Amino acid sequence: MMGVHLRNIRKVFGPVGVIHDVSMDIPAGEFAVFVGPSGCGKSTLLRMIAGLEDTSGGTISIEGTDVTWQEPAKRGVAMVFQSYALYPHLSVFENMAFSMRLKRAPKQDVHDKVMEAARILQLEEQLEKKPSQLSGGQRQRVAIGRAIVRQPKVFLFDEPLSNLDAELRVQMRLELARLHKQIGATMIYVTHDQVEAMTLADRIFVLKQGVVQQAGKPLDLYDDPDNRCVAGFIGSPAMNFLPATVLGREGDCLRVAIEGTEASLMARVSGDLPAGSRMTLGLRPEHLTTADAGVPVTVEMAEDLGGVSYLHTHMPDGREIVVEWRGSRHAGGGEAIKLTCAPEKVLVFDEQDQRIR
Amino acid sequence: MAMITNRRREVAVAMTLIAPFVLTFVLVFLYPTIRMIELSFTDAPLIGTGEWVGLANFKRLLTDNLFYTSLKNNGYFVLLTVVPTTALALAIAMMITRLKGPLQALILALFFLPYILPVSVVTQIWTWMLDFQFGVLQPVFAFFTGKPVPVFKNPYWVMPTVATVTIWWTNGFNVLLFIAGLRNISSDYYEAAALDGATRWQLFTKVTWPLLWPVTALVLTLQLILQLKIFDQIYLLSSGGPFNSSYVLLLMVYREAFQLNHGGYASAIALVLFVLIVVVSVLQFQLLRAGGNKQ
Amino acid sequence: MKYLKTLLAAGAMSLASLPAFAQQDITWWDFLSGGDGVRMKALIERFNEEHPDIKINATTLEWGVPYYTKVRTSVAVGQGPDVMTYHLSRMPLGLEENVLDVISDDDLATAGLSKDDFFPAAIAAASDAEGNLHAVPFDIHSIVLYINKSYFKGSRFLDDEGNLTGIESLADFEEALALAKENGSETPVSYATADDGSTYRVFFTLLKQQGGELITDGEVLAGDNLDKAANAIEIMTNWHKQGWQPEQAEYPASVALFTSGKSAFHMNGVWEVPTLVDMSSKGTLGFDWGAVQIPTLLGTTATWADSHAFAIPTGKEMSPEKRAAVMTAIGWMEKNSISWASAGHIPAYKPVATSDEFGQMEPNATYSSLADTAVYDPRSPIAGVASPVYDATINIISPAMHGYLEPAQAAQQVKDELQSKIQ
Repeated sequence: MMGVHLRNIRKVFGPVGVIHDVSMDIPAGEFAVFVGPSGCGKSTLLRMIAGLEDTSGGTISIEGTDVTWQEPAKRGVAMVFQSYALYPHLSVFENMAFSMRLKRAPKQDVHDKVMEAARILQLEEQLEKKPSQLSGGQRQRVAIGRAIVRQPKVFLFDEPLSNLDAELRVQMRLELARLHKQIGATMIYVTHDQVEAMTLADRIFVLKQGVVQQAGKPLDLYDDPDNRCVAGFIGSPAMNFLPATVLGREGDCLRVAIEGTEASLMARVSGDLPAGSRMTLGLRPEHLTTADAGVPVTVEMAEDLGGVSYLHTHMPDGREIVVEWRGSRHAGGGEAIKLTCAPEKVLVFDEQDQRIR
Repeated sequence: MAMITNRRREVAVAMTLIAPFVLTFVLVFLYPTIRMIELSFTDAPLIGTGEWVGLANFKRLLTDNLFYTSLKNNGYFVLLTVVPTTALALAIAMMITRLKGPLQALILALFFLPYILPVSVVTQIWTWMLDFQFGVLQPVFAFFTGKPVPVFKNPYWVMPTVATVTIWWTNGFNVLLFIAGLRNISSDYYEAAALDGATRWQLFTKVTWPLLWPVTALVLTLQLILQLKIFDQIYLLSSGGPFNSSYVLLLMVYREAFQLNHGGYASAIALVLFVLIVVVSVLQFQLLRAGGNKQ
Repeated sequence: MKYLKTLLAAGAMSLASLPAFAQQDITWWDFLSGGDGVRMKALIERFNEEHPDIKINATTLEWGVPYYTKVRTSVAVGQGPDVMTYHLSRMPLGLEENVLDVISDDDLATAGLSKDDFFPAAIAAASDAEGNLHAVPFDIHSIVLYINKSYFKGSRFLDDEGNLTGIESLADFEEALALAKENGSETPVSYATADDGSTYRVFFTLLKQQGGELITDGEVLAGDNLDKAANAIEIMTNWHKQGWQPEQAEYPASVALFTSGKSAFHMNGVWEVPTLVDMSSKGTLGFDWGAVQIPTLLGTTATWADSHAFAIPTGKEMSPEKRAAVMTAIGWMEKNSISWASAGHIPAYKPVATSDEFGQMEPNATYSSLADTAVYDPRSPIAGVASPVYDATINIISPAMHGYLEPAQAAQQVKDELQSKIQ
């Protein structure tokens, strides 16, 4: 059993549980991303894997060893902090060499490993500088370099890009992806940004209130979310949710009436819901098209991004629907249109927000 | 042109803003200092003017045994207080930061309490506690030395005792500075070091100590200046005795000026002390900064 | 215009009538506490009652350095009192500081006094080199030997009337100390061994009894005076070694040792007489006590003494009326100094000192003879109350007699330190 494996992990702060019975398997060499809204427990979970937080229940194993009660340093993990945690009084070289100095490693050894990491991260020119003399991106690289020098079994990243500006974030994202390919180590990455999750991850774990909502490949989660939470979190702009009522079955589809309108839509699901039951429809912006019959909406504003436009529209009762639009451009706004969606693209969630397939 | 007017106006505003401070500084510091320097070249009494005597006061100072005794005692006192109080404050601060909530506030208040007491109250408390006949601490001395010790009357005990009282009195402020410094160190540093396998001692030497160094340097320098100016406690506890073993420069200034009416000579001693403090503290701060950079 | 004239006339009239009705406020500073303070306050109250046109506003400050520092600084900036108490032992320093105004014969006449009314030694001590008077002596106070007679019952040291007798040398005195120790006295001779004033007074008395001088012609402990000083310290050191005198006793402790019956003798100023008189009359003392002149232990009869005096600060714009009021107050105090004598002091004003009333006053009458052999501090700016001599005592003599330094070395150190203060 290589990689990182969590079994029935629980974490309790006083009377409050923050991680509830989490189990997950991250195969060796994979890039796993924990994503979720703030307060979902993703950072806590990462810190538990690192050993910076005690585990209230369950077991954590890394590379086949149970490390649940082991000291952080003995788990073979390295962590990159959101604040980078670079020592301001040490040079870049000494920052990267810090862990080896603690172990009193031979000088030549230290030099070799730091130079190797510096080469990978293109930091050779900066080695004599103090962290305060570096740019944000360079500091980020030093923090990663410090992890590399340790040659850990697992790299842990705690929102490492959130202190960078948008442009640098995109660049660092690519560098991280490249780095993962280059060294091929297991990496666990925490973020609240679903774009980072989608672009970096081999496997995404969506967390909410201390529970794993769904785990899987990025596109699997996108196409086939298990519940409304995952559906809403993954994808940008976010999925539109419309409350609706089942009218009845028509072949392999259900006909559902959209609340607040006269309109109805077809949804291809095999699971049965009795007529009259309430549910929620999930419609991705790019799957909505105009039609003669459909949900009536008024275009309020159009965001024209060139190749693609996002129409911000609202229904008669004021609920907003975002539509992705390709091709012809829309000018001002105010026109009334009707929206529909192909039945196989319509997602259906029951009253417990679980997906009906 | 507009820029020049603007610049002028800015200067005018700046001048107006600093004027109160500059005036106060000139009035209550600069002017008295210049007068003191002037006075040190005369044979003036405490109040009134005197004759210009050139360097006579300073020449006399160089042959005054009491001056050397005082200088030595000042040095001894600095040795007894500056580093010990800094080390103690750091230790207490590190202990307090480990505590949580109301207990932390309580313990901090306990350590800070002596600092808000006036010096006369502090010395009174210790005079009572160390009283030769009735002092509650005398049994402790009797336990270790076999008999009570008149600490302020014994040439060997007097300075260490005054130093202890001083540390007890002023340590709270240093603890506060260190706590502020410790709170400024992000817990990320400790977690990063813990992941890197640092032991407790390494956490202190490799993380806490270097990151706290600016605060430590500040505390050391403030303490050096403060302790070179030692007067109140000596005056109230031992009056410089016995055998001048606690005689310090400021006491000498006081006695010459207020007891013997030698304003000029007292000014000369005060000037020497002033220069000494400036030189030593600047020197120390530079050395400490250099020490900090090296790490 | 007419109105204005009336107003001016009214103003002039009120001005003219002012001296008759205006009350003169006198600012008075003293350093008198304890029994002295109580008696002085009573005197001031009586004076204010008897003089509706003069009011003394008295402030009591802390004895010693604090008092004289405040006098010096406030007088220098013209903020001194109208009249103040002053120690004659401090006259030389007071004259050097120029804080004491001359008191003329006319001033004395205003007070109803003349120089002849006082003991010549006191007048000399209160005058400068030119013979100008700078203070009016009020009393002579010295140290005396208080006795707890219970330790000497049936011994050769009490005569038939129960008075101390048979102490004519140091050996006699030390025999008495040994006897008292044997009879259970914890510290046979108590004095404030950790106090500058008390230790100095004993030291100076022992020095003078050997015919020694502290300062002669600007030289400290010249010639064999050094050996005599060393001998004085040696004697005190021996009393410490024998366990005869208390170790590191502060002033209140030294008094308590005697009043609680633990000491057979007590060497202290006459100002503690009222304490013992009061305790004795209340019946809380518990033993038969007496107070005598310090016996002649070392050949020469001599006792340290000082005088309280009244002085007028210099540099004060004082109206003739106010000055007259001040002198009136001083004159009244002198004439009523029998009340002050009940604080143990010997009046400096002869008509009171030689009065029958004082002659009946005990124990003052017993020791008043010491006035003839009393010795003042040397006339030097470094001597007197709160002077370098006092500092040297607490700095060197007191620790030396507690065993921290050899007497000879201590005497040498006193000499060196004081010599360096004479500029």
